[in-house]
Amino acid sequence: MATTTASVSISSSDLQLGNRLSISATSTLMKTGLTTGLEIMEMGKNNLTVADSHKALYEGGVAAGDRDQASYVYLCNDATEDTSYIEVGIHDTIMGRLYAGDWMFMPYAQGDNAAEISIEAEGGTCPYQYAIFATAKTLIDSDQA
Amino acid sequence: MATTAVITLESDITSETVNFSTSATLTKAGGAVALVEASGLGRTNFLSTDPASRSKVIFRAEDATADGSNKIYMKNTSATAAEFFTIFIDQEEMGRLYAGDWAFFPWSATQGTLETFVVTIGGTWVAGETWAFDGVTTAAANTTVAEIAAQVDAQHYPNWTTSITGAAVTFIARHAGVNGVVTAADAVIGDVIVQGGGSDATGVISAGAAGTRSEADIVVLPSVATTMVLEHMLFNE
Repeated sequence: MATTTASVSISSSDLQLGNRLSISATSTLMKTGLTTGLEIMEMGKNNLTVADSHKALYEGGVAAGDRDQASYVYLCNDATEDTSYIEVGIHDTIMGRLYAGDWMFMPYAQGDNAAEISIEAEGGTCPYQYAIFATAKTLIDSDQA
Repeated sequence: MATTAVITLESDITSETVNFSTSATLTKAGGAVALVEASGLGRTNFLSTDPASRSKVIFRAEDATADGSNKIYMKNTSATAAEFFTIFIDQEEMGRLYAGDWAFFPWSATQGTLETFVVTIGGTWVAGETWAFDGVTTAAANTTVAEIAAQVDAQHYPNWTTSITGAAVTFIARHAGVNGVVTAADAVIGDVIVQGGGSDATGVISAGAAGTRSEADIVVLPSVATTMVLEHMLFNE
């Protein structure tokens, strides 16, 4: 069984006066509702320009069996200009702005084939790294006869 | 002031083990100034056995600055593998947070608009006459309209905030949405004047404007109608 773990540590000595913030969590990424590990992973690195407008980082579930499963998205904006950010959304719902140096890790339901992870660079070109961990992914038909 | 968030991902899905770590310092939009506001780490129990009322709004868009560099942390504390929280941004399903899973993601907090109206205390009031709204009743202490308006403004309304100019009190809803209270520029639902005999006390409504709902509230729905606990924290501008 493959084992994938995602750990987070959020800390601050002065965000909450008199109370040092220290959040730590580790999750082993399992297939939907099971105790066996996910086995599908896609990852890479690319550049997103302002001229690119909205791009689909990952398509929603193209097949019913891919939808509403345990899947996760990691995305990091490697830009160094503070004002360059990636606007992240699901289809046409804006989720948030990932500023230079920021990362995110979220569950992704792939609710339907119009639920793609949408990314758009604003303020300047944003190099980015990403990783997708999924329970299921149905390959689309090839055009090959 | 600095808050840092570090993620470490390790996987042996492929024969070449993946292992990397990324650290981010949480700053306001533009990067030069550290985030200084946070909700504090909280836990919400989902106890209802009524499926129709199981979902809860964890963060409302007005809790943060729109288009700010806001971040949300969530964790499903359940130990039962099949139990999950479905996270929604407004109507859009983001994903399922299974037992033990956590998430950390940016949040634009796209906000709606707040209902608003003005009530102007006018006419001739008699001490003891009342104006009621939102379940709160104000009894005139005297006959001076500006002072009665000040009494109205001094009340604490569960769903509205107020400000005052002379005898005019401006009401603004605490939460964005199409609340249906403001029905026209000159009419609201629920305002009641109880006059004494022969009085012509008035509370004229003006400048009414309906609201629009937020389109970024974070709504969470548990998968089962037994106790589930969500841990959550907002880092916001």
